Amino acid sequence: MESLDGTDWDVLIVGTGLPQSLLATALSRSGKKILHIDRNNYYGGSEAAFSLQEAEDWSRNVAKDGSSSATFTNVSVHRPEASETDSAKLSSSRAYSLSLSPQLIYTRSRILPVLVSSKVHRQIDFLAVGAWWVYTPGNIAEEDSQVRTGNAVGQGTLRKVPNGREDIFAAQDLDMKSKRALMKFLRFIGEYEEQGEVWEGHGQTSFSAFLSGQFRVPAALHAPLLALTLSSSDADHTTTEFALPRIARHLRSIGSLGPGFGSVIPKWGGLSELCQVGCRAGAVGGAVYVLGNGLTGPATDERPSDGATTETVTTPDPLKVVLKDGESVTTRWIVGSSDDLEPLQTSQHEPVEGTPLAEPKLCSRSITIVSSSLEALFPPMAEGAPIPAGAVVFFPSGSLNSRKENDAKPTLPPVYVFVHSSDTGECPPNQRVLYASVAMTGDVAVRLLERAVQALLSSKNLQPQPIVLWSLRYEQTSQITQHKESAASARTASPDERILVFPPTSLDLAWDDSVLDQVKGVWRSIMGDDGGEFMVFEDREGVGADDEGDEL
Amino acid sequence: HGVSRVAGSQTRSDQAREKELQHITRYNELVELIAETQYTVEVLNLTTKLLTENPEYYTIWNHRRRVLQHLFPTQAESASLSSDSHQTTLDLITADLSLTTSLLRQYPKCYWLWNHRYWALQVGEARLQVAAARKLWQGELQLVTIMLGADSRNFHAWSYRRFVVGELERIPAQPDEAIHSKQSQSMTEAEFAYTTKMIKANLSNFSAWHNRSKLIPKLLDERDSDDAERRHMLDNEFALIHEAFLDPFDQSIWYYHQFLMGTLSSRNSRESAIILDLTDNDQKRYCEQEINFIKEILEDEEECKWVYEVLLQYSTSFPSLKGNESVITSDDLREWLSKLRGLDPLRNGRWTDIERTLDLQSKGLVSQ
Repeated sequence: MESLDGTDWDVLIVGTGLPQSLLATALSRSGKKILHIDRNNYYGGSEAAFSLQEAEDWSRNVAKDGSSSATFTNVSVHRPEASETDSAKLSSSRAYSLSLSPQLIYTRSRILPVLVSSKVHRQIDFLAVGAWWVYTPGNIAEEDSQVRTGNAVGQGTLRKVPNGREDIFAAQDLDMKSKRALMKFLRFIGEYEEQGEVWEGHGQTSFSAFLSGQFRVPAALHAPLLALTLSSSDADHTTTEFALPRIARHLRSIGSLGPGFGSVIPKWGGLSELCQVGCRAGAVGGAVYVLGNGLTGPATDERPSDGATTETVTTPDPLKVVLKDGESVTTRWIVGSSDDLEPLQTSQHEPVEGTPLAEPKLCSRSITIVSSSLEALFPPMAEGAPIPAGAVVFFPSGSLNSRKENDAKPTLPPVYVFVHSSDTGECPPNQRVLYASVAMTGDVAVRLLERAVQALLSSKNLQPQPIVLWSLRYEQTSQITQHKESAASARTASPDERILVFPPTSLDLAWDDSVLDQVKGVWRSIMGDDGGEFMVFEDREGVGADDEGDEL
Repeated sequence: HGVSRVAGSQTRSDQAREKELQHITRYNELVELIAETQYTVEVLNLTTKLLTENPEYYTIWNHRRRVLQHLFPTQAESASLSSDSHQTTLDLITADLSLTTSLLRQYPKCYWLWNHRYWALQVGEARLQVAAARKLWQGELQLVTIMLGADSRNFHAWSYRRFVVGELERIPAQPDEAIHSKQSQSMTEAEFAYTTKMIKANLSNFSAWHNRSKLIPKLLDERDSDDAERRHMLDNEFALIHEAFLDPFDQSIWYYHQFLMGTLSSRNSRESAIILDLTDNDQKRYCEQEINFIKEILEDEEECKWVYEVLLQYSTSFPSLKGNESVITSDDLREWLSKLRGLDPLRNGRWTDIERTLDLQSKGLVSQ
């Protein structure tokens, strides 16, 4: 491979995370000279998917080289002792594609039509997310038995969240008053924007209080509605103005791409697949891809020495930057995530517009491979509906703790577990992957995640109890962390407008279209007014338009 | 109801005008050919072209049927039951069924498509062997089930379904065998279960509820249900519709409730009867029970006009409720009326009318 030293580019994209990959697609027809690098040996950055071996390597690298990734910390892998009687065994490393970003994508998200209009959708298979469940603990154990068994709670059950009127109609365990209260709320949420008088005064109040006060929804039924918000706070701290649009999004998305489901997940490893496809589109458009290469040192101006400048709005004067092996390249634009651009040690250009409010900044996550199909979690959702490949389990705040613990501590955040079937290609048949997440870090968080997984596997719905084959734990932050050196270095220069920064990956469990807005903002800076329509392309020659978009 | 019909684009470009002129030319050609009684395959193809672009043009369907009649083997040929002539007839019919199937996908509510299918199947039954004819009808049931899967509220499809079921029940499964008893081929049980399924999938299905109302009396007769079983059925149906009260804004459930209440009326026909030995006491009991159930809804939901309308309607239609102050007081009536005026001011005249009727009732006790 030829050396990059001395090469000149229009755009240098650093990191192959999702925003950068989408940008590569957006620029793929522009004719610009693009160099797209990633310091890892794999695509996807914070949205990557790993085989078992890759996950274990990653765990070692993060521990060894802490500064290289401010986003992920405390990564550890656990392989339980396999007993001889266990019929289920871990398969080979490459049979797994574990996602660091198992976000679900609501079917009304703007990213889906964008993938279609940019013609990359045919390379992606989307699978339906089906039932949502709320964990209800069994008898809350007393302190003694907790010490003995190590479990905080007795055997719990999973209750399915009703997806709409007909589910509520069919529910056997609700009385008429509760059903009518839920229906009234359902009717309201369908057009809540036009009923401001009902909720605008209560925007900041807790969603629970709103449900009880305005709709007389009994407290026992708050959890299923709260689950739909994917809120990282408990019921009392989730505001009404946060909850309403998210529940509306959930309910309005059902049926829009097909009966029985309202959100999808990409096959083969979550958002990593979108990164792969995005970069591929970039490559087809002429961009040069180099893995295992990253930035070192700050960027310097490379204005022509005779003072003559060819600078225009979309072709600013070049910057020079040095890569890992000492190669120096010049470019008009540098784009990356704040993590990837950290070596530049510039003050951060304001993150591009559209960062969503109220998202969690820190979380603890785990990925667990289990030995059974967990069939009960994937019931068919409707006549003619595709078989779901994902399920969501919500553990309300406090449901994983003993009474004593609940009294002693301040309220803990809820835990979410996304269950993915082997249809996603993330694991072999007859195994499942559990992605657990909680919006806090530390030992308490790790325990919560463990308990959630245990509680799920031992719940009454899923007997006989499945076995854990392997698990990965890590912590993730979406805050921009400044390294000591760069903090100390002079912040004299105003942010360089040629360096465009994407904010860190959102920790929201559902895809947020604001990422798309960020990519568009960067694209517009680079392309100016001559870019044509964002992400709207014609098929390239030789590519057919025969098949329909989403394969389900 | 609440689902808008998607209108085609109304813009008339030059292209569209050109196309229309072409159509007119072709149509005129067709009319000439028909006038000359040229019932050939070419003419058939011409009608196919025209109908594919505009299936609503019923005159052309008429022409097509004339052509087909002509193309069918004559009665003499069919009488010999030669397999060739049978096959020709079957092919022609199957072709027309295919044509209308593909058109129904785009225009599922076009009356003429359904009519033509009906015609094709009638002809099929008249001219084909019983087994072949029956197979065609079974194909129809499959088609209508698929169409209802795609749009469960297509009343054309539901109406057609009732018709197909009727035909399948009528045509013997074994050739040359008369039907001994209705039960042997009856599909009522299966159809009843089908309405249950469709309602569970979507409560707001007027046609499913309507179909159910048609099937229940028939079902009871076929099962030879005794009085106890009949009451059991009515009680179950009331229980079901009470569950559906979770969404009082859904108009379709009120239609079904009105049907059930209708079976309690002395003016109800034998055909739509559920309970056959209804006493005055029974009627009183059911009416009071239902009024109370409905009044309960008002505790949770005050702004639903159907509830008030239905309450007023029952108050005036059932002798056991009229003037029965223990269940419905005049204050109740006045309150419901005033609520209706607020919720549905456009129908003020109607509410005033009802008010007059009711006031007359209560005042009528005072003799002049």
